[in-house]
Amino acid sequence: MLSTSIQSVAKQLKNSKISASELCDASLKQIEKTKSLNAFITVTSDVALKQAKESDQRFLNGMTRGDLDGIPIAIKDNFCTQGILTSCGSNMLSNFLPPYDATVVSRLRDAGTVMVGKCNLDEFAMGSGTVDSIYGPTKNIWGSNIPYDVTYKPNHKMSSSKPKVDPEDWRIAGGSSGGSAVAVASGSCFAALGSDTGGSTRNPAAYCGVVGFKPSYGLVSRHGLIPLVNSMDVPGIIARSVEDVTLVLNAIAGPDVNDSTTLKRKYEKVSLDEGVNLLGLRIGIPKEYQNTAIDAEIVDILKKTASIFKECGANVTEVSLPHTPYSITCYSVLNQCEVASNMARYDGLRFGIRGDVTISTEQLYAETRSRGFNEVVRSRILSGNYFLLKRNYEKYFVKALKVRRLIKNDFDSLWDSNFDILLTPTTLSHAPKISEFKQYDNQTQCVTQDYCTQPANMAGTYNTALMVHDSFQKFNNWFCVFVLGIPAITVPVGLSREGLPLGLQLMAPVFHENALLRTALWLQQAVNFPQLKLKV
Amino acid sequence: MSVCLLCRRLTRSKLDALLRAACKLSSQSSSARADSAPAASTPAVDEETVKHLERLSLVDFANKRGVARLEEAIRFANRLDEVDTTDVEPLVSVLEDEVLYLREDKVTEKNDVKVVLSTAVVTEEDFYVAPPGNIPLVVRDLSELK
Repeated sequence: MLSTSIQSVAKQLKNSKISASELCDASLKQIEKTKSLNAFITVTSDVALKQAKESDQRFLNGMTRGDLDGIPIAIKDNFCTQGILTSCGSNMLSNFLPPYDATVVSRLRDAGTVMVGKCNLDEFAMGSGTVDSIYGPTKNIWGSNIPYDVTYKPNHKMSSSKPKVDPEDWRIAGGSSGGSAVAVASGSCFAALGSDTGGSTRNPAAYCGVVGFKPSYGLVSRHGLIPLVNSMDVPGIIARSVEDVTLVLNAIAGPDVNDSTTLKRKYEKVSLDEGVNLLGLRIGIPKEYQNTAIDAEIVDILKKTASIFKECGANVTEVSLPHTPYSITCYSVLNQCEVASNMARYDGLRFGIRGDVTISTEQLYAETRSRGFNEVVRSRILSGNYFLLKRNYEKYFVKALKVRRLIKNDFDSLWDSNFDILLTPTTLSHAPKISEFKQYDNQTQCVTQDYCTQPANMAGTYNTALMVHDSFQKFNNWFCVFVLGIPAITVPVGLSREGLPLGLQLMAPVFHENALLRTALWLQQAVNFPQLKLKV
Repeated sequence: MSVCLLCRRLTRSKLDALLRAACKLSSQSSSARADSAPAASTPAVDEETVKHLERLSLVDFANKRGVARLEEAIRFANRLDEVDTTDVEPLVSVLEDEVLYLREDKVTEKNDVKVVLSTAVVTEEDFYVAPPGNIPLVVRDLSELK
């Protein structure tokens, strides 16, 4: 029941085959069974049971609120929830009980959903592994020691090997919305909100074999989403199918008076009914991805997928986005500058933890902040402020804004030559082991250390340094959606030889959600990704 | 001394060439500005800058690795020099073609002091509480950095 689609469980709720309270119970039990994965920071059982009861009442009175009524969902712990801990995975907000709900949270509640908990993330969403949270890392369900079955639809002859389980060296969930992705993948809920600044929804979705969607910037309200990079942050949606993602999108999208960056136009719901006409659909595959240290299996599956599209009538061509090699640098500078500015609000006086110093206000600020932030956050603040120094502002910040324009021009010229969709890898490999992930992070430090002592090796190491300078650079998709605000979705398309999910990403022009989601649905049906079912 | 400098210069230019090859820069983007500093030549961040940044950020570098991380971030960001951005307008917001709306200047939520103050650790009556202001931060001795 917990691994089916929202629509089919909604039908059962409608026909009284199951009650919202029963569904909620099952969901809370599933969370308990998968507790070792650490997907949740807070399990909101009381709220969930109350909301489920209210939903039952609505079904009884025939006053239901649509397909999402009674459906268990989870929220990443950087969306404000009234009276419920909203920690951002940081010591800084480890005592923060927001006095209001984020717009997306209240819209989901108005749609009748049942909130089962708040999901784990990298501190302040800075990371791509969900390993940097004060509540500990989130582990991927794939390759974990929780017993599960992988089942294909009938008549599907593919079989797959199961990943080897090493309890000490588990697979990372990806991040920063790793908790949300694992919650959905393990059947603890039907959908979860993540947030996406540089791939934080799509990266963990790909590693966990679920669908991860980043809407156009301006389509979904960010009021109550604790900001990381204002010019790029958007709420993301994670679910097990494109249909489920669409249901959630239709419930949360649209103008919000509390967020001036939402589009004023009335939101037209995305409809998947018509499907997509592949005949003449123009799909571009950027050739620049080949420049990365990308896994051969991802390249293979990308080629296979391209040929499926081709066979069915789509026009698939290689395209070029010449400024792609600079997108990650551009992103990194803008990210650090906006982080430096955003994190200035944490002073210990108005919210969050407070240091014990009483000598001076500044000393209190400094003490609060060094206790509140981890090393990643601190170093991004420091380098952000370096780039924003009067003498550096033009050279780095303004320069990065200009490069962002060039990247946008690359994309615009593709859309202008009538491309409808871009197809790319989502990540460079399947979910790495925690040891591999940490090793990369260490390597960054090593590269820094070796920089002066190993000049002979420099070209090679330097290139690695570019990729791993911060862990998000190595493990995030390095394509440039994030700097542009265009919609993107990752769809699980197959399993690697080791039995781990592989995802591919589709992108469309800004506000072309209809075309994007319909194409994604087609792809989902064409590839028939297996279902993961817990055996406990 | 001069031999030494020459050696370093040679190594640098060689490295720069290698670096470009390694990055497989496309023909368009390799039209680097002539005056761009080679990425590898980032000067170390001096002590004054470190102090200034700590003062601005109100967080400290903690240790030498913190400073090295900053240097690494700068080195990485210097890659932007390779891109020719002559006559390019900065893209500040992806919604640059949209009109920002203003709402009417009307009270929409009631002014509940209790709710607003509920998130603060220390309050007194209807106020946030802060220690005395206008006292500069105590500057650490940077030689303590490990």
